[in-house]
Amino acid sequence: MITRFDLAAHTGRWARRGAGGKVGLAVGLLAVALAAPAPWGAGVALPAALALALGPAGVPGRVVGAVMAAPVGFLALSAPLLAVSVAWDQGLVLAWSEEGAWNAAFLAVRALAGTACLALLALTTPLPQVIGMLRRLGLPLVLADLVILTYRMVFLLGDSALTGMRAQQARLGYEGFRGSLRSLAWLASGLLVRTVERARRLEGGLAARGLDETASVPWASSPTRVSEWGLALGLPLVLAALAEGLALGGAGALAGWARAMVAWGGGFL
Amino acid sequence: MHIMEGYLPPLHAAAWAAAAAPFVIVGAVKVVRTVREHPESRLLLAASGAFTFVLSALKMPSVTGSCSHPTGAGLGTVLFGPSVMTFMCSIVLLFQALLLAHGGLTTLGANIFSMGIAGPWVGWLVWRSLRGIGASLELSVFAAAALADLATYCVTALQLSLAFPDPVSGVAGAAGKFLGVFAVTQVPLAIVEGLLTVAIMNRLSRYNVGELRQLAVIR
Repeated sequence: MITRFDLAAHTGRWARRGAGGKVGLAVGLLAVALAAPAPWGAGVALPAALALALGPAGVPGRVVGAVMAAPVGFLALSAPLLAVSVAWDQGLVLAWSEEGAWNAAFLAVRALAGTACLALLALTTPLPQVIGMLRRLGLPLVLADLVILTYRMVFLLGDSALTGMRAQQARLGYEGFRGSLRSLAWLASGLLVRTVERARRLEGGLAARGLDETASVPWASSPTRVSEWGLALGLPLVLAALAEGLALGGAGALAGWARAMVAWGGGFL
Repeated sequence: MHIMEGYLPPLHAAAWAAAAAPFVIVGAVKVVRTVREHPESRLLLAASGAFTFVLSALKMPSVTGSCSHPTGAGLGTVLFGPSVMTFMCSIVLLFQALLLAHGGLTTLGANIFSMGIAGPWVGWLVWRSLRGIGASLELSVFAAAALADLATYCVTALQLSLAFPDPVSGVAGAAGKFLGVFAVTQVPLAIVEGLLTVAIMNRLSRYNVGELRQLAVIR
Protein backbone atom coordinates (compact mmCIF):
# COMPACT_ATOMS: atom_id res chain seq x y z
CA MET A 1 0.00 0.00 0.00
CA ILE A 2 2.73 2.47 0.98
CA THR A 3 4.59 1.75 -2.29
CA ARG A 4 1.41 2.49 -4.25
CA PHE A 5 0.95 5.88 -2.56
CA ASP A 6 4.65 6.76 -2.80
CA LEU A 7 4.62 5.81 -6.48
CA ALA A 8 1.64 8.11 -7.06
CA ALA A 9 3.57 10.97 -5.43
CA HIS A 10 6.74 10.28 -7.47
CA THR A 11 5.07 9.78 -10.85
CA GLY A 12 2.08 12.13 -10.74
CA ARG A 13 1.70 15.28 -12.84
CA TRP A 14 2.65 17.45 -9.88
CA ALA A 15 5.72 15.42 -8.86
CA ARG A 16 8.13 17.97 -10.35
CA ARG A 17 6.37 21.03 -8.99
CA GLY A 18 8.13 22.95 -6.24
CA ALA A 19 7.53 21.49 -2.78
CA GLY A 20 6.90 24.91 -1.24
CA GLY A 21 3.88 25.55 -3.44
CA LYS A 22 2.36 22.13 -2.78
CA VAL A 23 2.90 22.28 0.98
CA GLY A 24 1.60 25.87 1.04
CA LEU A 25 -1.52 24.86 -0.91
CA ALA A 26 -2.30 21.85 1.31
CA VAL A 27 -1.65 23.77 4.53
CA GLY A 28 -3.69 26.73 3.27
CA LEU A 29 -6.66 24.51 2.42
CA LEU A 30 -6.29 22.82 5.80
CA ALA A 31 -6.37 26.20 7.53
CA VAL A 32 -9.60 27.05 5.66
CA ALA A 33 -11.13 23.72 6.70
CA LEU A 34 -10.24 24.23 10.37
CA ALA A 35 -10.46 27.97 10.92
CA ALA A 36 -13.12 29.33 8.53
CA PRO A 37 -16.73 29.42 9.81
CA ALA A 38 -18.13 25.89 10.27
CA PRO A 39 -19.31 24.00 8.34
CA TRP A 40 -18.71 26.23 5.31
CA GLY A 41 -14.90 26.28 5.57
CA ALA A 42 -14.64 22.50 5.55
CA GLY A 43 -17.51 22.32 3.06
CA VAL A 44 -15.55 24.28 0.45
CA ALA A 45 -12.07 22.90 1.29
CA LEU A 46 -13.18 19.24 0.89
CA PRO A 47 -14.32 19.42 -2.77
CA ALA A 48 -11.45 21.78 -3.62
CA ALA A 49 -8.79 19.36 -2.30
CA LEU A 50 -10.42 16.34 -3.97
CA ALA A 51 -10.89 18.22 -7.25
CA LEU A 52 -7.24 19.32 -7.29
CA ALA A 53 -6.02 15.77 -6.56
CA LEU A 54 -8.25 14.07 -9.12
CA GLY A 55 -8.10 16.82 -11.75
CA PRO A 56 -4.93 18.87 -12.26
CA ALA A 57 -2.70 16.56 -10.16
CA GLY A 58 -4.04 13.48 -11.99
CA VAL A 59 -4.12 11.10 -9.03
CA PRO A 60 -6.28 8.03 -9.86
CA GLY A 61 -9.60 7.94 -8.00
CA ARG A 62 -8.99 4.48 -6.54
CA VAL A 63 -5.71 5.68 -4.97
CA VAL A 64 -7.47 8.68 -3.40
CA GLY A 65 -10.20 6.32 -2.16
CA ALA A 66 -7.67 3.90 -0.67
CA VAL A 67 -5.81 6.67 1.15
CA MET A 68 -9.05 8.01 2.67
CA ALA A 69 -10.34 4.58 3.79
CA ALA A 70 -8.49 4.14 7.12
CA PRO A 71 -9.27 7.63 8.51
CA VAL A 72 -12.92 7.19 7.50
CA GLY A 73 -12.99 4.01 9.63
CA PHE A 74 -11.80 6.01 12.66
CA LEU A 75 -14.45 8.65 11.93
CA ALA A 76 -17.23 6.05 11.62
CA LEU A 77 -16.28 4.58 15.01
CA SER A 78 -15.92 7.79 17.00
CA ALA A 79 -18.12 10.57 15.52
CA PRO A 80 -21.52 8.90 16.23
CA LEU A 81 -20.63 8.96 19.94
CA LEU A 82 -21.07 12.73 19.94
CA ALA A 83 -24.75 12.30 19.08
CA VAL A 84 -25.40 10.33 22.27
CA SER A 85 -25.38 11.94 25.72
CA VAL A 86 -24.67 9.98 28.88
CA ALA A 87 -25.90 10.63 32.43
CA TRP A 88 -25.54 8.45 35.51
CA ASP A 89 -27.03 10.48 38.35
CA GLN A 90 -30.15 8.27 38.39
CA GLY A 91 -28.70 5.13 36.85
CA LEU A 92 -27.14 4.98 33.39
CA VAL A 93 -29.23 7.01 30.94
CA LEU A 94 -28.33 7.25 27.24
CA ALA A 95 -30.18 9.88 25.20
CA TRP A 96 -30.13 11.22 21.66
CA SER A 97 -28.70 14.74 21.54
CA GLU A 98 -29.71 16.91 18.60
CA GLU A 99 -26.96 19.39 19.35
CA GLY A 100 -24.49 16.50 19.58
CA ALA A 101 -25.70 15.12 16.23
CA TRP A 102 -25.06 18.48 14.55
CA ASN A 103 -21.62 18.64 16.17
CA ALA A 104 -20.90 15.12 14.89
CA ALA A 105 -21.97 16.10 11.36
CA PHE A 106 -19.82 19.26 11.41
CA LEU A 107 -16.90 17.24 12.80
CA ALA A 108 -17.28 14.62 10.06
CA VAL A 109 -17.14 17.27 7.31
CA ARG A 110 -14.14 18.99 8.94
CA ALA A 111 -12.21 15.74 9.46
CA LEU A 112 -12.94 14.54 5.91
CA ALA A 113 -11.81 17.92 4.56
CA GLY A 114 -8.63 17.78 6.64
CA THR A 115 -7.87 14.25 5.44
CA ALA A 116 -8.51 15.26 1.82
CA CYS A 117 -6.00 18.14 2.19
CA LEU A 118 -3.45 15.74 3.68
CA ALA A 119 -4.13 13.22 0.90
CA LEU A 120 -3.52 15.97 -1.67
CA LEU A 121 -0.12 16.59 -0.10
CA ALA A 122 0.77 12.90 0.38
CA LEU A 123 -0.18 11.90 -3.17
CA THR A 124 1.52 14.79 -4.98
CA THR A 125 4.68 15.44 -2.94
CA PRO A 126 7.47 12.84 -2.62
CA LEU A 127 8.61 12.78 1.01
CA PRO A 128 12.28 13.68 0.23
CA GLN A 129 11.00 17.00 -1.19
CA VAL A 130 9.32 17.78 2.14
CA ILE A 131 12.46 16.81 4.08
CA GLY A 132 14.55 18.96 1.74
CA MET A 133 12.22 21.87 2.43
CA LEU A 134 12.44 21.30 6.20
CA ARG A 135 16.24 21.19 5.88
CA ARG A 136 16.22 24.59 4.12
CA LEU A 137 13.99 25.86 6.96
CA GLY A 138 16.61 24.87 9.55
CA LEU A 139 16.17 21.16 10.41
CA PRO A 140 19.62 20.03 11.68
CA LEU A 141 21.65 18.09 9.10
CA VAL A 142 22.03 15.05 11.38
CA LEU A 143 18.27 14.74 11.83
CA ALA A 144 17.47 15.40 8.15
CA ASP A 145 20.00 12.73 7.19
CA LEU A 146 18.49 10.30 9.68
CA VAL A 147 14.98 10.88 8.34
CA ILE A 148 16.10 10.38 4.73
CA LEU A 149 17.94 7.17 5.64
CA THR A 150 14.88 5.94 7.52
CA TYR A 151 12.73 6.70 4.45
CA ARG A 152 15.05 4.64 2.23
CA MET A 153 15.12 1.74 4.66
CA VAL A 154 11.34 1.64 5.13
CA PHE A 155 10.96 0.30 1.59
CA LEU A 156 13.85 -2.17 1.87
CA LEU A 157 12.54 -3.59 5.14
CA GLY A 158 8.97 -3.47 3.85
CA ASP A 159 10.00 -5.66 0.91
CA SER A 160 11.73 -8.08 3.29
CA ALA A 161 8.60 -8.22 5.48
CA LEU A 162 6.37 -8.86 2.48
CA THR A 163 8.65 -11.61 1.14
CA GLY A 164 8.85 -13.27 4.56
CA MET A 165 5.10 -13.09 5.05
CA ARG A 166 4.39 -14.63 1.63
CA ALA A 167 6.78 -17.48 2.39
CA GLN A 168 5.06 -18.07 5.74
CA GLN A 169 1.62 -17.97 4.10
CA ALA A 170 2.80 -20.53 1.51
CA ARG A 171 3.73 -22.82 4.43
CA LEU A 172 0.27 -22.23 6.01
CA GLY A 173 1.95 -20.24 8.77
CA TYR A 174 -1.12 -18.10 9.42
CA GLU A 175 -3.58 -20.94 10.08
CA GLY A 176 -5.28 -20.28 13.42
CA PHE A 177 -4.59 -17.76 16.16
CA ARG A 178 -1.58 -19.53 17.71
CA GLY A 179 0.01 -20.17 14.33
CA SER A 180 -0.48 -16.54 13.28
CA LEU A 181 1.06 -15.25 16.50
CA ARG A 182 4.04 -17.58 16.20
CA SER A 183 4.65 -16.70 12.54
CA LEU A 184 4.39 -12.99 13.26
CA ALA A 185 6.88 -13.27 16.13
CA TRP A 186 9.36 -15.10 13.86
CA LEU A 187 8.83 -12.51 11.14
CA ALA A 188 9.32 -9.51 13.46
CA SER A 189 12.39 -10.92 15.21
CA GLY A 190 13.88 -11.95 11.86
CA LEU A 191 13.26 -8.44 10.57
CA LEU A 192 15.03 -6.92 13.56
CA VAL A 193 18.08 -9.10 13.00
CA ARG A 194 18.01 -8.20 9.30
CA THR A 195 17.71 -4.52 10.27
CA VAL A 196 20.88 -4.63 12.37
CA GLU A 197 22.80 -6.58 9.70
CA ARG A 198 21.67 -4.21 6.95
CA ALA A 199 22.71 -1.17 8.98
CA ARG A 200 26.15 -2.72 9.62
CA ARG A 201 26.69 -3.57 5.93
CA LEU A 202 25.52 -0.14 4.76
CA GLU A 203 27.77 1.59 7.29
CA GLY A 204 30.75 -0.43 6.03
CA GLY A 205 29.90 0.29 2.40
CA LEU A 206 29.52 4.02 2.94
CA ALA A 207 32.71 4.22 5.00
CA ALA A 208 34.59 2.43 2.20
CA ARG A 209 33.43 5.16 -0.19
CA GLY A 210 34.42 7.92 2.22
CA LEU A 211 30.81 8.91 2.98
CA ASP A 212 31.18 8.90 6.74
CA GLU A 213 29.47 12.21 7.56
CA THR A 214 26.10 12.07 5.86
CA ALA A 215 24.56 9.66 3.41
CA SER A 216 21.69 11.74 2.09
CA VAL A 217 20.74 11.25 -1.49
CA PRO A 218 20.56 14.56 -3.36
CA TRP A 219 17.10 15.01 -4.84
CA ALA A 220 15.96 17.16 -7.71
CA SER A 221 13.54 19.74 -6.37
CA SER A 222 12.20 22.30 -8.77
CA PRO A 223 11.71 25.84 -7.46
CA THR A 224 8.12 26.89 -6.95
CA ARG A 225 6.96 29.11 -9.82
CA VAL A 226 5.05 32.35 -9.33
CA SER A 227 1.82 30.80 -10.67
CA GLU A 228 2.18 27.91 -8.19
CA TRP A 229 2.61 30.36 -5.31
CA GLY A 230 -0.40 32.22 -6.67
CA LEU A 231 -2.49 29.06 -6.46
CA ALA A 232 -1.09 28.14 -3.03
CA LEU A 233 -1.81 31.54 -1.52
CA GLY A 234 -4.76 32.68 -3.59
CA LEU A 235 -7.04 29.64 -3.57
CA PRO A 236 -7.20 29.32 0.25
CA LEU A 237 -7.88 33.08 0.50
CA VAL A 238 -10.69 32.83 -2.07
CA LEU A 239 -12.15 29.79 -0.30
CA ALA A 240 -11.92 31.49 3.10
CA ALA A 241 -13.77 34.51 1.70
CA LEU A 242 -16.32 32.17 0.11
CA ALA A 243 -16.88 30.42 3.45
CA GLU A 244 -17.33 33.79 5.18
CA GLY A 245 -19.76 34.86 2.44
CA LEU A 246 -21.73 31.65 2.77
CA ALA A 247 -21.89 32.03 6.53
CA LEU A 248 -23.22 35.56 6.13
CA GLY A 249 -25.17 35.49 2.88
CA GLY A 250 -26.24 31.92 2.15
CA ALA A 251 -26.86 30.41 -1.30
CA GLY A 252 -27.08 33.68 -3.21
CA ALA A 253 -23.50 34.44 -2.31
CA LEU A 254 -22.46 30.91 -3.33
CA ALA A 255 -23.36 31.40 -6.99
CA GLY A 256 -21.48 34.68 -7.24
CA TRP A 257 -18.36 33.35 -5.54
CA ALA A 258 -18.39 30.13 -7.58
CA ARG A 259 -18.37 32.12 -10.83
CA ALA A 260 -15.53 34.30 -9.55
CA MET A 261 -13.49 31.31 -8.38
CA VAL A 262 -13.85 29.39 -11.64
CA ALA A 263 -12.78 32.45 -13.62
CA TRP A 264 -9.79 33.08 -11.31
CA GLY A 265 -8.66 29.48 -10.84
CA GLY A 266 -8.63 28.65 -14.55
CA GLY A 267 -5.57 30.84 -15.04
CA PHE A 268 -3.41 28.88 -12.57
CA LEU A 269 -4.32 25.26 -13.35
CA MET B 1 -5.28 4.37 16.94
CA HIS B 2 -4.44 7.62 15.18
CA ILE B 3 -6.58 10.72 15.55
CA MET B 4 -7.28 11.72 11.96
CA GLU B 5 -6.46 15.08 10.36
CA GLY B 6 -8.96 17.82 11.12
CA TYR B 7 -10.56 15.92 14.00
CA LEU B 8 -9.30 18.06 16.88
CA PRO B 9 -10.29 21.73 17.25
CA PRO B 10 -7.29 24.01 16.42
CA LEU B 11 -6.71 25.09 20.06
CA HIS B 12 -6.61 21.49 21.28
CA ALA B 13 -4.28 20.49 18.45
CA ALA B 14 -1.92 23.36 19.35
CA ALA B 15 -2.02 22.51 23.07
CA TRP B 16 -1.13 18.85 22.46
CA ALA B 17 1.66 19.88 20.09
CA ALA B 18 3.06 22.16 22.81
CA ALA B 19 2.80 19.35 25.37
CA ALA B 20 4.60 16.87 23.10
CA ALA B 21 7.33 19.27 21.93
CA PRO B 22 9.64 19.07 25.00
CA PHE B 23 9.71 15.26 24.87
CA VAL B 24 10.43 15.25 21.13
CA ILE B 25 13.20 17.83 21.57
CA VAL B 26 14.80 15.82 24.41
CA GLY B 27 14.63 12.70 22.23
CA ALA B 28 16.11 14.53 19.24
CA VAL B 29 18.95 15.96 21.37
CA LYS B 30 19.71 12.47 22.68
CA VAL B 31 19.72 11.07 19.14
CA VAL B 32 22.05 13.85 17.90
CA ARG B 33 24.39 13.27 20.87
CA THR B 34 24.39 9.51 20.26
CA VAL B 35 25.25 10.00 16.58
CA ARG B 36 28.10 12.39 17.46
CA GLU B 37 29.54 10.03 20.10
CA HIS B 38 28.97 6.86 18.06
CA PRO B 39 28.89 7.77 14.33
CA GLU B 40 28.32 4.11 13.49
CA SER B 41 24.96 4.29 15.29
CA ARG B 42 23.50 6.62 12.62
CA LEU B 43 22.51 3.80 10.30
CA LEU B 44 21.43 1.64 13.21
CA LEU B 45 19.08 4.43 14.35
CA ALA B 46 17.69 4.88 10.83
CA ALA B 47 17.22 1.14 10.45
CA SER B 48 15.53 0.97 13.85
CA GLY B 49 13.15 3.78 12.83
CA ALA B 50 12.32 1.87 9.65
CA PHE B 51 11.80 -1.31 11.71
CA THR B 52 9.34 0.57 13.98
CA PHE B 53 7.44 1.79 10.91
CA VAL B 54 7.30 -1.66 9.28
CA LEU B 55 6.34 -3.30 12.61
CA SER B 56 3.40 -0.91 12.91
CA ALA B 57 2.26 -1.95 9.42
CA LEU B 58 2.24 -5.71 10.11
CA LYS B 59 -1.20 -7.24 10.48
CA MET B 60 -1.74 -8.69 13.93
CA PRO B 61 -4.30 -11.45 14.56
CA SER B 62 -7.12 -10.43 16.87
CA VAL B 63 -9.18 -12.66 19.13
CA THR B 64 -12.30 -10.91 17.81
CA GLY B 65 -11.54 -12.28 14.35
CA SER B 66 -10.49 -9.00 12.74
CA CYS B 67 -6.93 -7.81 12.14
CA SER B 68 -5.14 -4.78 13.47
CA HIS B 69 -1.61 -3.42 13.77
CA PRO B 70 0.77 -3.43 16.74
CA THR B 71 1.86 -0.04 18.12
CA GLY B 72 5.34 -1.43 18.77
CA ALA B 73 5.65 0.94 21.75
CA GLY B 74 6.42 -1.82 24.27
CA LEU B 75 8.96 -3.64 22.11
CA GLY B 76 10.59 -0.39 20.98
CA THR B 77 10.88 0.88 24.54
CA VAL B 78 12.50 -2.31 25.80
CA LEU B 79 14.92 -2.34 22.82
CA PHE B 80 15.70 1.36 22.31
CA GLY B 81 14.66 3.16 25.55
CA PRO B 82 11.81 5.68 25.94
CA SER B 83 13.56 8.92 24.81
CA VAL B 84 14.82 7.45 21.56
CA MET B 85 11.46 5.72 21.08
CA THR B 86 9.67 9.08 21.41
CA PHE B 87 11.82 10.50 18.62
CA MET B 88 11.38 7.40 16.45
CA CYS B 89 7.62 7.41 17.00
CA SER B 90 7.57 11.07 15.93
CA ILE B 91 9.34 10.16 12.67
CA VAL B 92 7.05 7.17 12.13
CA LEU B 93 3.92 9.27 12.74
CA LEU B 94 5.23 11.98 10.39
CA PHE B 95 5.88 9.31 7.73
CA GLN B 96 2.42 7.84 8.24
CA ALA B 97 0.90 11.30 7.75
CA LEU B 98 3.00 12.28 4.73
CA LEU B 99 3.11 8.88 3.00
CA LEU B 100 -0.27 7.38 3.92
CA ALA B 101 -2.41 10.38 5.05
CA HIS B 102 -2.86 8.29 8.21
CA GLY B 103 -3.04 10.47 11.33
CA GLY B 104 -2.40 14.09 10.47
CA LEU B 105 -0.22 17.17 10.65
CA THR B 106 -2.44 19.22 12.99
CA THR B 107 -3.07 16.10 15.10
CA LEU B 108 0.62 15.08 15.03
CA GLY B 109 1.24 16.52 18.52
CA ALA B 110 -1.74 14.66 20.02
CA ASN B 111 -0.75 11.40 18.32
CA ILE B 112 2.89 11.77 19.41
CA PHE B 113 1.70 12.37 22.97
CA SER B 114 -0.40 9.21 23.06
CA MET B 115 1.75 6.85 20.98
CA GLY B 116 5.24 8.28 21.35
CA ILE B 117 5.19 9.54 24.93
CA ALA B 118 2.43 7.97 27.07
CA GLY B 119 2.84 4.47 25.60
CA PRO B 120 6.65 4.21 25.72
CA TRP B 121 7.03 5.90 29.13
CA VAL B 122 4.33 3.76 30.77
CA GLY B 123 5.92 0.69 29.17
CA TRP B 124 9.35 1.75 30.41
CA LEU B 125 8.12 2.36 34.01
CA VAL B 126 6.37 -1.03 34.08
CA TRP B 127 9.41 -2.79 32.58
CA ARG B 128 11.88 -1.20 35.04
CA SER B 129 9.61 -1.74 38.04
CA LEU B 130 8.94 -5.40 37.31
CA ARG B 131 12.57 -6.17 36.48
CA GLY B 132 13.54 -4.24 39.64
CA ILE B 133 11.50 -6.56 41.87
CA GLY B 134 12.86 -9.63 40.10
CA ALA B 135 9.91 -10.51 37.85
CA SER B 136 10.64 -12.88 34.96
CA LEU B 137 11.56 -11.55 31.51
CA GLU B 138 8.33 -12.91 30.04
CA LEU B 139 6.05 -11.28 32.61
CA SER B 140 7.91 -7.96 32.45
CA VAL B 141 7.83 -7.83 28.64
CA PHE B 142 4.15 -8.84 28.49
CA ALA B 143 3.09 -6.24 31.08
CA ALA B 144 5.22 -3.48 29.50
CA ALA B 145 3.86 -4.10 25.98
CA ALA B 146 0.21 -4.59 26.99
CA LEU B 147 0.13 -1.61 29.36
CA ALA B 148 1.97 0.62 26.85
CA ASP B 149 -0.74 -0.25 24.34
CA LEU B 150 -3.52 0.40 26.88
CA ALA B 151 -1.91 3.71 27.93
CA THR B 152 -1.93 4.83 24.29
CA TYR B 153 -5.62 4.01 23.96
CA CYS B 154 -6.57 5.65 27.29
CA VAL B 155 -4.72 8.88 26.44
CA THR B 156 -6.35 8.98 22.97
CA ALA B 157 -9.78 8.57 24.59
CA LEU B 158 -8.92 11.34 27.06
CA GLN B 159 -7.81 13.65 24.24
CA LEU B 160 -11.11 13.08 22.44
CA SER B 161 -13.13 13.59 25.64
CA LEU B 162 -11.42 16.91 26.38
CA ALA B 163 -12.15 18.06 22.82
CA PHE B 164 -15.74 16.82 22.77
CA PRO B 165 -17.24 16.78 26.29
CA ASP B 166 -20.64 15.16 26.72
CA PRO B 167 -23.49 17.76 26.71
CA VAL B 168 -24.89 16.31 29.96
CA SER B 169 -22.05 14.67 31.91
CA GLY B 170 -19.07 16.64 30.59
CA VAL B 171 -15.55 15.31 30.12
CA ALA B 172 -16.10 12.34 32.46
CA GLY B 173 -19.14 11.17 30.48
CA ALA B 174 -17.32 11.58 27.17
CA ALA B 175 -14.33 9.64 28.54
CA GLY B 176 -16.69 6.82 29.52
CA LYS B 177 -18.17 6.75 26.01
CA PHE B 178 -14.84 6.77 24.15
CA LEU B 179 -13.14 4.32 26.54
CA GLY B 180 -16.13 2.00 26.36
CA VAL B 181 -16.35 1.89 22.57
CA PHE B 182 -12.60 1.60 21.95
CA ALA B 183 -12.19 -1.00 24.72
CA VAL B 184 -14.03 -3.59 22.60
CA THR B 185 -11.13 -3.67 20.14
CA GLN B 186 -8.22 -2.20 22.10
CA VAL B 187 -8.21 -4.40 25.23
CA PRO B 188 -7.97 -7.67 23.25
CA LEU B 189 -5.36 -6.05 20.99
CA ALA B 190 -3.27 -4.99 23.99
CA ILE B 191 -3.27 -8.58 25.26
CA VAL B 192 -2.34 -9.92 21.82
CA GLU B 193 0.44 -7.35 21.45
CA GLY B 194 1.76 -8.36 24.88
CA LEU B 195 1.84 -12.04 23.83
CA LEU B 196 3.46 -11.16 20.50
CA THR B 197 6.15 -9.06 22.17
CA VAL B 198 6.98 -11.89 24.58
CA ALA B 199 7.34 -14.29 21.64
CA ILE B 200 9.63 -11.82 19.81
CA MET B 201 11.81 -11.13 22.87
CA ASN B 202 12.08 -14.86 23.67
CA ARG B 203 13.41 -15.55 20.21
CA LEU B 204 15.78 -12.58 20.23
CA SER B 205 17.19 -13.36 23.68
CA ARG B 206 17.70 -17.00 22.71
CA TYR B 207 19.20 -16.68 19.22
CA ASN B 208 20.27 -13.04 18.70
CA VAL B 209 22.11 -11.84 21.80
CA GLY B 210 24.77 -10.16 19.62
CA GLU B 211 22.21 -7.96 17.84
CA LEU B 212 20.61 -6.98 21.17
CA ARG B 213 24.06 -5.90 22.43
CA GLN B 214 24.51 -3.71 19.34
CA LEU B 215 21.14 -2.05 19.93
CA ALA B 216 22.23 -1.15 23.47
CA VAL B 217 24.47 1.55 21.90
CA ILE B 218 21.45 3.70 21.02
CA ARG B 219 19.45 3.13 24.21
